[in-house]
Amino acid sequence: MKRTGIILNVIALLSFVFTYAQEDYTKSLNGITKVKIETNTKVKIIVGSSNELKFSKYELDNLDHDHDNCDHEHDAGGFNEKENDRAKGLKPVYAGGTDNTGFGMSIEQEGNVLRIKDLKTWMQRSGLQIYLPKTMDIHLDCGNMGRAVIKGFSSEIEVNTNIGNIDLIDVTGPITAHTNTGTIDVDFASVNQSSPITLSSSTGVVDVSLPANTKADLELRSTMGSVYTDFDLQKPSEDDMKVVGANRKIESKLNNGGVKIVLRSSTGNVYLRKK
Amino acid sequence: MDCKDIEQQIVDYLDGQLPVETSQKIKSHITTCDDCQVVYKETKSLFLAFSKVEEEQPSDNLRHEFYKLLEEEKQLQNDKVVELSKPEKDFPWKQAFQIAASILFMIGGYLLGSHNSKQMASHEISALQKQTIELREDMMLAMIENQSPSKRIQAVNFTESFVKPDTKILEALIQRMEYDGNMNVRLAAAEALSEFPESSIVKDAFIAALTTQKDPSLQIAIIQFLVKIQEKRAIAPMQQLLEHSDTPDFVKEQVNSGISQII
Repeated sequence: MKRTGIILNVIALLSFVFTYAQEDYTKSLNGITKVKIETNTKVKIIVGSSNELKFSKYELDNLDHDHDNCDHEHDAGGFNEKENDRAKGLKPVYAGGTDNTGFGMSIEQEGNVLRIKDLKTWMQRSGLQIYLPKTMDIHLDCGNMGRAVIKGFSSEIEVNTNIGNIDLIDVTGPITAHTNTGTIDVDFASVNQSSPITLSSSTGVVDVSLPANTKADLELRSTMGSVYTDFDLQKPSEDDMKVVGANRKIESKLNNGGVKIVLRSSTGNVYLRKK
Repeated sequence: MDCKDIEQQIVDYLDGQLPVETSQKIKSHITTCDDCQVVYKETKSLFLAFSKVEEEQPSDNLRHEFYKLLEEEKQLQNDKVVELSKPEKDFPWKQAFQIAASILFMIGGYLLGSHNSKQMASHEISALQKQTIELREDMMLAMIENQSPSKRIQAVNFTESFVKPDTKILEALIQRMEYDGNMNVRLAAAEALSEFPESSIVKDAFIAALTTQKDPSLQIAIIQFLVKIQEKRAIAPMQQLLEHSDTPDFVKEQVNSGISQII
């Protein structure tokens, strides 16, 4: 028992040292308009200072609503680093592709799209922090275990997770987000009118805050849950009869209508807040 | 007073229209002057002869003829009056007919013209509408391949305005429902397709999707559509869904209530 304790401590210390030693990765984004990220871990994407992509270690801050167990993360990272120690002179090989970043990531450019593929599994990496320019389109795929926090972008955002929550803060859209069991929280700074916003969760909650003056054609639906709002929803006029199927759908115009906003959950509740 | 004056006044003298003084002078001159005596006698005999000539009276026959002629003339005159007054009194059929005909022609012309122009206008409108729909269809087909999922959803939403979309459109939507990388696009496509329940390729696609689609939201949308159209072929794959262990419970709930609703 004592021995394992010591080993664990050593591992923790090593991981501490190595994670600090690990350098951030940066890449220029000239000619790139969209970044596609595939990963299996939790990802935080925030606005960087220049026109470049930067990876760094995940830092917990007030954007993380539920603080995960820190020790566990460090343990996982440490285990990884220990393997590297043994593998001196060897190169890591991943099933998903070739690491061309030294960060366990594969980066490929296809036209004006930069594809970033995380080669490490959720066991190997716990948390990834990415800095991108404010106007870069983002497509984030969090795989089975990942969750997403994205803050401060005025570009198009597409996020998909399986069980992880999706937190979008200070964004404008267009946004297309889907999760199976996670919660979707979106706080809009303003609403881009160019193309539709769609947020859907199969079993989770969809919670959206919109500025009071937002122009939108709302479509709120929850198959088995409830819909809550503090907006005054204008009912569509009676002569505009539409076939309403078994799906309980609430359609309404906000401030005389505008871009289509669809909020949907099969079994969870839908919350629409005015701010 | 000389003979020349006497000669000039002799007629008036004989008629006794001269003043007494002058007729006295003429009388005394005539008795003294032989020449004037002759003139006096000749004129007097001429006047006598005039007065002796009887005034000719027109015969009764003439009178009768004249009146007859007059009557005839009157009659003629009357006839003319009748002829003139008749068209005034009677309804002027010919003129009325002409006016009516011209009005008819005018109205007919107007109607024909307006009908033609209306037909042309409606033709143009329908052509324009067709064009917009075609444009929207083209736009939809072009946008549905866009790399932005939001744009693809927008393209899918375009089909809301299509009443009877082309097979091309339906196939594009079905492809989106089955294979789109984004769940929300697949859901939007499924919802758009459920607006066309009479299309057989849509029905077939939904039945096929019931067994291939794994996302619960999409499964529920598919089940709801198939229940709405009372598709009996859907019962077998729905029962298969119930047997699958990876089907979420709330989807199974929908399946159960759906099967009971398909009579």
